[in-house]
Amino acid sequence: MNNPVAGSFRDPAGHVYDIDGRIIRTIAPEAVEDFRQVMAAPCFQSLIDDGWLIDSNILSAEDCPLDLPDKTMAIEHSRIPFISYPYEWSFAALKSAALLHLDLHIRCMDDNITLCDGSAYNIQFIGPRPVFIDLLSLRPYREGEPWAGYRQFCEQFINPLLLGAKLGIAPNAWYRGALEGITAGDLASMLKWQHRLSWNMFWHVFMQASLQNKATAQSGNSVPKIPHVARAGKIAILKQLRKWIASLSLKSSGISTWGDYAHSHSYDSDAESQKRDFVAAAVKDVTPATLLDLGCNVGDYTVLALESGAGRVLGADADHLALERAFSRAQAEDLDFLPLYLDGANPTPSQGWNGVERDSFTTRAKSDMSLSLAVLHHLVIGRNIPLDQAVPWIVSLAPNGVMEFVTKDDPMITRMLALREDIFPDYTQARFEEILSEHATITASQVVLGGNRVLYRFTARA
Amino acid sequence: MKRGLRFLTPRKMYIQLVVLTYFVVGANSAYAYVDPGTAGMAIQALLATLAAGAATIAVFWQQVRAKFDNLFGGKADASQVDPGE
Repeated sequence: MNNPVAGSFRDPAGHVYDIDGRIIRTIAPEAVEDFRQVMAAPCFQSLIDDGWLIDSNILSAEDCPLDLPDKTMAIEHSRIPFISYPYEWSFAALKSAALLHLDLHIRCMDDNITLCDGSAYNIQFIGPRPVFIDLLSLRPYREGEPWAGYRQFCEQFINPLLLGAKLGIAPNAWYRGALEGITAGDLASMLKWQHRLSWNMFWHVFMQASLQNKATAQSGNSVPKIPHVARAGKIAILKQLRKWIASLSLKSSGISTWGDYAHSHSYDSDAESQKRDFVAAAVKDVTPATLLDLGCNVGDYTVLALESGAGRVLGADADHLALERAFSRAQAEDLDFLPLYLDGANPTPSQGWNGVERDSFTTRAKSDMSLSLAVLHHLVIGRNIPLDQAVPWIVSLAPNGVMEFVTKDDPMITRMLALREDIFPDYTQARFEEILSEHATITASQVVLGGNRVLYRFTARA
Repeated sequence: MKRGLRFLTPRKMYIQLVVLTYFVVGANSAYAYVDPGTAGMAIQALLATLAAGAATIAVFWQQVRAKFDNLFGGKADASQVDPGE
């Protein structure tokens, strides 16, 4: 008996299964007729050809690894290399996903196909390219029906984006705690009075919040009806939302801890060159299909890894501006690189319904090699994670890796300890090597920057 | 939230207009596994109505302009105006 993947339970029209690496979607008998209409629409194949919609092939009963109930249909999709969630996306990634959602909807409406929801979880990324994965969100359009997913779209795309664009607050932490997104009411109470003067915010945030309050207050008195929304009006709303979202950008003070790292760190060009050579040689030897760049910053070493033979790179960083630049760079240079928000001391947990609906980062981040350059001291000295826990955690992320140890003589650590007591007596190179050797085999090491930094290449013990 | 909107005098008018639009126009059956929310539905109904109104005014305005141009400058012919614009 196969069970659907943990996050596939909300829509009774079908479920998704992961069977021996194959991604199979079942379509319930009552949804088959609608799906056939969707498939027959001219946009369906062109959306797949353009990479907007996940590729989808109908499976015969013989080819399907599931025992299908009578009249149930099965579709096989390509496997997404890495499943990510909107609370891990940078502002630019969330915006990119929102635009794809709207573009796809607008294009579908030309063929009388609509989307029945507005979920950000229906978008995944292949590198920095968003792709719509939920086939069963596409339904035949019925004249006059409004977009049932409008509120969901506002809560999962627009409101988190507004939090970043209007208040300069990265939505990730809030979003991670509220998987269904940010409500109009919550956002409205944070925005400033002048934001009400914006046509879009007035309607989509303030008026929606006000009406929802009113509806809640009157919930016992009337049964709501679904209004008629003309087709042209619905398309106009979608286009207006698209234009608005395209104009949003992350509001920031312009100060990023790491966004300018490439220009502000304490390396000279020789040390930088030594470090790059060490990393490039390690990546060339392993040629990982997937490399995890922990502390990816704006992606300088990601680019080096890709040039040195890595198939794709999954980046992780906790600096929002650095992530913003990294994502834009990946899109502009067409890199197979997806930079995600991750606080190493508090990595994304398994959560949602029953605690398993959305997988933890470490469960999903299966890679062949990890790169953790100047990361360890931020965990140990910056966040008080014991050295003998931080090192094995990094080692556990991939069977091969490159890790950088920064000594206490480095100006970076001197600054970190300037205002606090040094409670890290075991943070030494010798102790680091001892712990790393317990969990991995050190295959190479190199001192850079006059001995302040040491690079280690290792293979994890099984 | 409620306090903050008080400075807008037309607030009640807006809400009544939205609610009116919401209940007066026709109704479909539900077609979603997600809860669309009363407010989300009402906003769409109103914005769609406003968009339709704006489109009508735009077409009317173009026709008026074309007629004036035709009358005084002979630049355009009202019959050539694309009503879909």
